[in-house]
Amino acid sequence: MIHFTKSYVKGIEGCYGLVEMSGIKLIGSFDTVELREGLRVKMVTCGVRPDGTPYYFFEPIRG
Amino acid sequence: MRKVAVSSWATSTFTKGSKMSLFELACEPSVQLIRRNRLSAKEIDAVLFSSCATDQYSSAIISEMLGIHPKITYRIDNLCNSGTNAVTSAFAIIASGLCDTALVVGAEKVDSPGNKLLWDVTRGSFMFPVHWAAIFAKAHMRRYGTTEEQMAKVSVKNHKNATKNPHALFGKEVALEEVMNSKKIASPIKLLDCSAPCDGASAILLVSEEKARSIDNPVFIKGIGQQTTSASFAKATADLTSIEAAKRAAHLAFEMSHTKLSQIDVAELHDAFTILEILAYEDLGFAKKGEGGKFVDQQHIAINPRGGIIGCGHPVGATGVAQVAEIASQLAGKAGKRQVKHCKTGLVHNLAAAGSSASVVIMGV
Repeated sequence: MIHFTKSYVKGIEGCYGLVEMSGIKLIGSFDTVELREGLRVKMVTCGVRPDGTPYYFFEPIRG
Repeated sequence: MRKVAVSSWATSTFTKGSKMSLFELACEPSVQLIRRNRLSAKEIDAVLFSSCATDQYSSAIISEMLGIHPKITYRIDNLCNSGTNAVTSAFAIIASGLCDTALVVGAEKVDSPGNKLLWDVTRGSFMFPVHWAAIFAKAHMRRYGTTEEQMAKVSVKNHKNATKNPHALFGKEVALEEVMNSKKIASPIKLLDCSAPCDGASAILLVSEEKARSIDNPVFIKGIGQQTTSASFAKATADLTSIEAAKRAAHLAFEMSHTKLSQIDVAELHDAFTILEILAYEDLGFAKKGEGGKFVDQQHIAINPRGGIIGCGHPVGATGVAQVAEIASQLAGKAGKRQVKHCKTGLVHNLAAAGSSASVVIMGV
C-alpha cells in the first residue's frame, strides 16, 4: 500500500488506496479503515462491472 | 525560427447550462476577436480547435461558420492540457513559416466526455479526477505537513481574484471556513477545493513577428515546454508529491526562453484542485520542495489573477487558451480591474490527467 484515503463521491463512503503489486500500480477498494502506508495487502477480488468499469478489492495481510 | 506574438484574445463568459451548441460557443469569442481586429477571412491561415468533445470535423465546421478558409485546420484533444497544446501547434506552424496567422479557439460543454477517465483501468472504480488529486494531497500532507487550511487558502485567493473577472463562473468570495466546511468529496479534498466543469470558450490570435510589427506592445511567446510521462495515473509520477511532467516542461520552457524564474511577474497555474496549485509552486521552482503550502501567502508574484480554474470554472478544452489569453492581456496592460502593475514576463502552467502531461508557456513583452 503506497497511499490511501477515503472517497465520499456520490454519497458512497469507502476507503481506497494506491497499491503496488509486482511493479503494477492500481487503485483499489478496502473494506477496512485500519490501513497505513507500507501495509502488505492482497487482492481478494477483481472484475468488470456491467457498465464496463473495472474494480479491484484488497485486504491487509494479517500477521 | 520566427518569433510568434499573441496579437488578440477574447473569452466568453463561463456558465453552466448554456443553450448554445459547442460550435456556437466556439464562435462567440472568435467573432469578437475577428470583429475587433477588423480581420478578413483571408488573413487567417490556420484555425486550431481545442476541445475534448468528439464531434467529427469540428475545426472545419467552425472555420466555415466563421467564414474562414484556412490552409491548416484541425482539432486538438489532450484533456485539460488541450488548449496549451493547441497554442504549441499554432506557435510551431507560424515559427516554421507554414502560416503567418493562426486562430486558436478552445471550447467545451459541461457534459464533455473528458470528465471521467474510463480508459485508465489502473484507477479501478475511482475514475474521477478528484480521486487521484486526493492521493496527491494526502501524500504531500504526510511528507511535508501541508495542511487542509493551506489548500483552502488557494481556493479563497482564487475565488477572490475571480470577482474581478466578468467572465468567471464564480463571482463571489468564499471565506476560509466555508471552504473548510464544504462537503467532503475525497479526503482531504472538499467541494470548494475543486474546480467545476462548465460551458465556455476562449480564442486567441497568434501572428508572425512580421505581422506583429503593426501591433502596439506585442506580447511574444518566448518559450514553450511540454512533456507527457504516461496516460495512466499509475505511471504518471513516481513521487506523488510532485508532477514530473510539469518539472520537465518548465525546464524546457525556461531554457528556450532564456528567462530566469525571478523574472516571472504573473502566472496562470493549473488549479483544478487546490493541491495542484501548491504542487505547481514547487514544480516550477517558486517554492522550495515541501514549502508550497506556505507559499500561498506570498505577495511577490501575481498567481491566477483571473481566478484560476477554481474561480473561473473549467471548460476543459478552453482552459489552456483562456490561461494564455489572460497572461497576454496582463502583459499588454489590458487586464482592466485585475491588471497586475508593471508586469513584463508571464507564465502559463497547465496539466492533464493526473499530471501525466504538462505544458509551460513563457510570454513576454
